[in-house]
Amino acid sequence: MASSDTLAVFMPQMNEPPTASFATPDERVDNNGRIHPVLDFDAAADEFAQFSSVMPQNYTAAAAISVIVEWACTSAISGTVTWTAQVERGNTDMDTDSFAAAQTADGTANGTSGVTTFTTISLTNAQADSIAKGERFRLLVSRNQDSGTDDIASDVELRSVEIREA
Amino acid sequence: MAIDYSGSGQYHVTSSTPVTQSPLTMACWFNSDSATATQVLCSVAHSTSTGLVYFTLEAAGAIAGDPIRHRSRNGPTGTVDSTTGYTAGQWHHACAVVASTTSRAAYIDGGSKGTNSTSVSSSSALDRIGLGCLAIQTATTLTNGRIAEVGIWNVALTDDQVLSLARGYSPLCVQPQGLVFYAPLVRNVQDVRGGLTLTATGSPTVADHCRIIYPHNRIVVPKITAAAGGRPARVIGGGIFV
Repeated sequence: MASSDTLAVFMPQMNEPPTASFATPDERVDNNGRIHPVLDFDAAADEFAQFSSVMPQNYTAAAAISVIVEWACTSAISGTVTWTAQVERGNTDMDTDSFAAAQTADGTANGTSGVTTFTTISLTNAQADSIAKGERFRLLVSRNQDSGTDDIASDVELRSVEIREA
Repeated sequence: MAIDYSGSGQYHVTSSTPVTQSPLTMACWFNSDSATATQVLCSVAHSTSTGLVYFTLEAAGAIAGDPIRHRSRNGPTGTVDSTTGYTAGQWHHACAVVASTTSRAAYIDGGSKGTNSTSVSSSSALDRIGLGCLAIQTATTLTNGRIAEVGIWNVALTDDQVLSLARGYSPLCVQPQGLVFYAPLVRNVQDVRGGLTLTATGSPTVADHCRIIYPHNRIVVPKITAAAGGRPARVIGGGIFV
């Protein structure tokens, strides 16, 4: 796998919501009544979305990855959102949470609330729980609304997540 | 975004129903604002009846223990309550399974199953579905709170299937061949299974949705392989849906 190639893509319907503090399904409806499925993340509490996949066989051993969160605001047209990403290799007891530490990145809202912003969270292989090709993994994405930087007072809407080899 | 009913003058109804008799299953998620009022979350009823023919799925806040209640009524009434109750302000899963004219059950959160065997005959007069109300001639027993992920099947789901729903799986994941009505209520109010139109009375609002796991297509990211001449093959769309 070459640098910048896509390793996985996740859409809102692929969410495996935690039992608590979960991002909620929503729709953004365009002027012709056609929908964009999104996941809403609150401004008042940290909420999470989880996605699972298997790392492709052509993932370069120990390569860093980028988790790219595509998002928009429900109504805001300015401000900053703090996104976090955590990876868990599928080589541990399924009954025990073993996500690696959260990595974060800030993104700036577009001046039009319906226009998405792409925020890239960079993870070394170690920060990605030392994931290897062929391994199942879980990706936990959250909005860290109390990061001190996140200052958007309303919901933000996740539209897609892409993992690329960095 | 679930639909939030005020408990006063707000509900949805269809103009027909895909089920009129057992076996059938009715299920939804709800987050009630009241633990003292009985609220019909979903009903299959007769639009010109004054109350004698229907199937209901209720959050029975006026009943001791606040159970989930199902009633099958056609003259006689078969009433069944779940053995535990709901808490206002929390999401719960409600389900009623009517296996036959003499077998019905009510569940909360996938368990606490109550059963009833009163004989209640079928009626072909049932002609509409109500959300947030008992959809008889004058809609009544309105819901005060949120409703989401309403499914109606023309089969009796098993205990394990009901548990799957309560664990968060979408109705689309659980015996979908028997699913004849499905309204996710994620902002839009549509029967995405049978195509029935849901007509609003009042102006129900939207609020945060419940936890839910939807079926989805896996996205396989193809490996870029070299084509003849050494140039990379072109991948249209960036992925293959399987």
